[in-house]
Amino acid sequence: MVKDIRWRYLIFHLHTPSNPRIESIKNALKKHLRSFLGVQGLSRAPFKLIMYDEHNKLGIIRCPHNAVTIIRAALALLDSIDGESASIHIAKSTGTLKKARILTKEIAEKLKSYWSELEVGMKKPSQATES
Amino acid sequence: MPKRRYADLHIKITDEGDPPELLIKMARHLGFSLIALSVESFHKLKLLEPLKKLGDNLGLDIAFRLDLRPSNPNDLKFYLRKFRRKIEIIAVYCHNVAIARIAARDRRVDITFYNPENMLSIFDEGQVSLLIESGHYVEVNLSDLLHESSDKQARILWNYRRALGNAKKKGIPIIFSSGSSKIIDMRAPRELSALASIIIDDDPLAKNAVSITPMKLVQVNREKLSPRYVQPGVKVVNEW
Repeated sequence: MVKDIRWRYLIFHLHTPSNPRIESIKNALKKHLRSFLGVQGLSRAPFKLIMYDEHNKLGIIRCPHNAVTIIRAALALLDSIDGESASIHIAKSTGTLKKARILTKEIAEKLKSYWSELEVGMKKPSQATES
Repeated sequence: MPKRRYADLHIKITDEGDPPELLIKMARHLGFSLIALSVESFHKLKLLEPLKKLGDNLGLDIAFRLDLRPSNPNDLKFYLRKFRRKIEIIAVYCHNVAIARIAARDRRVDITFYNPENMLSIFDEGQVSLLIESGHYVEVNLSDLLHESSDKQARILWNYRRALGNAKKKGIPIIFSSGSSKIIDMRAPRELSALASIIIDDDPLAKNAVSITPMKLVQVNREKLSPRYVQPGVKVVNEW
């Protein structure tokens, strides 16, 4: 049977020097996408934050397959979360949640080797010396 | 089918921005194969030369670009005469009509980019026809949209959509770049391409604007800078 809606699962990596909670990210995403797409746009491109790993700053967003481009463009323009500068990098896009979870684990492993250096670089000089 | 390779031709090196080493590592992390480090002063380029080696180690091709912001047409001509044979990419920021027209007419310029606020008054039919003749690339920077209010973003998107719609119709090559000097402002190629897609309303063209089109520009310019190059279509193949 052909599915009504084909979902896509976007695995994202949050680039930010701080450690925002999942609620903050949910609110920031909702606010930003509502402002960028408007009510009419959101009705065509609904999205849901499926999971977020606060430790690795990796998460999964679900959206319809025909809304991937507009969601990506909207997320590219997100520049802060809770007043802290932040950006979202869509690392992968998959068709099933199972595959998305597997890939999230793989990406987390890969990032361990080099991400810390870049994260330190994102901090303002004062924050960098504190840590 | 070969894997698509992505390029970001506008990563600014400034004193206030992040160190170039970090920018290069971030570009590699985001999935770029080629980046152009841009400076506004030619003298800074000598300091950046060793970064090519870092790029090679990471598997990232690095080109250098000079951003010119001349105050008058004579300045522009002077800079072009002085630096054209020394650098891979020359871009001109067109902040008024006089500079835009001279830049569009001069074949030594590779890229023109504009202030999105007054782009519609500069980027008119006359500018478009000059750009067609000279074969210049028009650049859109994501940094114009970042850190702006929703109202301003909407206005900028509208201006770009109208101006680039005209450019697209006439076949002027369009490239999308990040225009960032900080790693947190850099975006992945597919994000840039998604943004391009909503501006120019053409998926294949949007993908090319962050991959094939900028790659081609760098390749052609490197060929021109090689000692074997004589003129378009003519190069030294053997000497005896």
